[in-house]
Amino acid sequence: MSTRLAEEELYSRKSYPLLYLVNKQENTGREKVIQSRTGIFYVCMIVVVFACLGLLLNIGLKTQAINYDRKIFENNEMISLEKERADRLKLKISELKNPDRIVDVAENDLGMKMSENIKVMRVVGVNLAKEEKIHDYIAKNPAPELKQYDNFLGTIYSIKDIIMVVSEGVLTFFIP
Amino acid sequence: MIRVTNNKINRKRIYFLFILFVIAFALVIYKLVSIQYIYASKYQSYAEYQHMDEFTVNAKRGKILDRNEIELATSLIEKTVYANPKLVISAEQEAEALSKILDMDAGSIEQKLGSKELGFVYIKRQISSEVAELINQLNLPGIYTQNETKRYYPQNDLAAAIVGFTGLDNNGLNGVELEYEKLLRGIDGKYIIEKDVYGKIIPGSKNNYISPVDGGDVVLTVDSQIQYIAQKKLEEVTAEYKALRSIAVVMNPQTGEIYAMAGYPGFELNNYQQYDESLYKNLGISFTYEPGSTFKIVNISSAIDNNCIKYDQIFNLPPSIKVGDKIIKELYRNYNISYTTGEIIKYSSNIGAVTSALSMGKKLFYESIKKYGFGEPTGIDLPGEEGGILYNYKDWSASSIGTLAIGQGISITPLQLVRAACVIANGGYLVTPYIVKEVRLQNEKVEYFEKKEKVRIISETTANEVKDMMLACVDDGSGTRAQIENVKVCGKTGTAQKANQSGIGYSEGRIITSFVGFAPYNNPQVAIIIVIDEPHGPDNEIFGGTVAAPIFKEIMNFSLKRLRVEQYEA
Repeated sequence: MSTRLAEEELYSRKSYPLLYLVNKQENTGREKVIQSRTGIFYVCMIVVVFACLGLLLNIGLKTQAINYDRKIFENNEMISLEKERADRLKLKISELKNPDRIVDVAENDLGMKMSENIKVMRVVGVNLAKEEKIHDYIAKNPAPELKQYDNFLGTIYSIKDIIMVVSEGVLTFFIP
Repeated sequence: MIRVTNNKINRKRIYFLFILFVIAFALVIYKLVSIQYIYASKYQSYAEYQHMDEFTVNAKRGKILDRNEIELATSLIEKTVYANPKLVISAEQEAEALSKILDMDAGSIEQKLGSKELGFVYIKRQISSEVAELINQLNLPGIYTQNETKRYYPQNDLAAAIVGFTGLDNNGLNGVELEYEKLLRGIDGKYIIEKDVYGKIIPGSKNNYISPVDGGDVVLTVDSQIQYIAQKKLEEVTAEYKALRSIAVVMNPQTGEIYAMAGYPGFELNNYQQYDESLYKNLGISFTYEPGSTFKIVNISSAIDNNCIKYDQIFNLPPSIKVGDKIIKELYRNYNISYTTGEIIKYSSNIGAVTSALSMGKKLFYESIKKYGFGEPTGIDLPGEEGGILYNYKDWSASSIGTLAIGQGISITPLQLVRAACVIANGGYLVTPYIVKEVRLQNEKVEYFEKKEKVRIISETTANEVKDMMLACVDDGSGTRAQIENVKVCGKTGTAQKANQSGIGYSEGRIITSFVGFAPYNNPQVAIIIVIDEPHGPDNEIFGGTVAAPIFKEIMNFSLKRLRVEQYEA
């Protein structure tokens, strides 16, 4: 084979697709080889599809993250607006507590006047002292039935109460 | 032959091109290295400048509260309209639209929007959210709104000089607002964003948010109701006696807490710009005057404590005495009299006070006055405190000891004198007055500063003896108008001539009346000083005991009730 022919063959191999079918020529007794790269093609396709899916997922997640960011921002805006409103109300309350305003309203609108005869004195009395002791005792020793709702078993006590109420209701409904 | 020559020329050309290529490549490499490595930080900063932007998120300024949680100063978020004139398309049209909403002159807005060389101009600051929303709806190019905090003072003129005020930029300019600026201000946050080539924010890019740290809340020792009564009474007395000004300081003699510090005339915090700047001063700590007879408690207590005179010592006092080149006289006495030490205070005897000071001598008297903290600021946590003037005894003239004994030749503040009275009230300790009770940072209650230890400067016995003298002064002396029913009140009157503007001599008719005292006698919980500057009226009616003592009584009476102090003495 001359150089020219060899070059032509090389050219034809480069120019034509590698994947092609050739009729079986029985007469020649020689089996033609069908070149195929189907496996790699599918692998590539799958890789591309997965890559695309991954990309889409990534974009989707990013979009979702941005959306969440927006929602957080909006919620924060709402919170700050509410806080601002609360602050304005507090300011109004403080203005209302102004002693000058209170005295002015009391004296001019309600006809009141500043008392000169208020005295602060120590209250000495046996009964009062006893009562105070009782209050102190109650504060320090709460009733056990109240206490039981305050601890870990409180939930169980609550459930017990709910069951009691529901069963009473059911019985009332069914019993004529 | 020709072929050989051509080959040589070609080779030279190839070499030339090769060298040219190598040089060009080397240049490119050099440029790359210089950009990527040598000047990397410079280009990085250029890039960041172009791509990154930064917004300041203002921290919310903390509140100022009184001891009962009444808000004295608070911050609200307001909107500010600003513009980037470079991005404004039609300054005239936009100015026209803005002027209608902002109620401003269209010409001035247009002028601002026309300043194309500027990248930022304020149009109007601190407008309401509703107005800002209207502007946002117009979507004018180059016009923006941003949040800014505005300071409000709900009690307005109440404790104005204590609370102080802030400027437009929310910087504290006076009072607690200035003293606790760092704490109240907090730390501003930042929002760093990435921009595209058109200057738009890239969503989801590496935006960085540094949240602001809001300022702490400052809780004062001031009781707004006592402060109110003090201010009201001062207003009344100033009007009644056509005085120049009046001052009241109410404090706890045991701890140094300030319950009220009032001055009249005052100013309104919400419109402070409309008042003269001289009114911004806190008179309780900045007004200096010669105390007159109220200073005798310092003189007598020092003399007793230094064993120069005795509590029950009897003095034969002439109607006048010559000290150096000065003759010091009694006000209404032209005959000799015998007074005990207690009676010197009770009847406010000038000659008795001079005798007491002379018994100590210059050095000891000077040192005793210094011990009481005169001549230097008390250390209260408020700006603008004056220290007063007390000359060193080495610089005293021959008559100085005599004039100082009766409260002349020394300049003090009302706070310094009430602090001296506290020494008598609490058994001999010098307390440091303070105005801030606590500071709350990030919801945590924090005791802000360590209170200075009170220092014993006179013995308990001396303090109690002088206390008895002050009690007698109110019970049966010059201060009877300070008496309160069922309460034992201790006090001392003062009527001092005012020095001439030139600083030489004293002018007739220009006086300062004052009263300093505390109650209840057994366990003093409230100490008050009242100073009335230049009250006018008949000569025989204008004294500390007639002008200042009744106001003292009313403020003391209210304070005892307000602070739930048991009034009945055992």
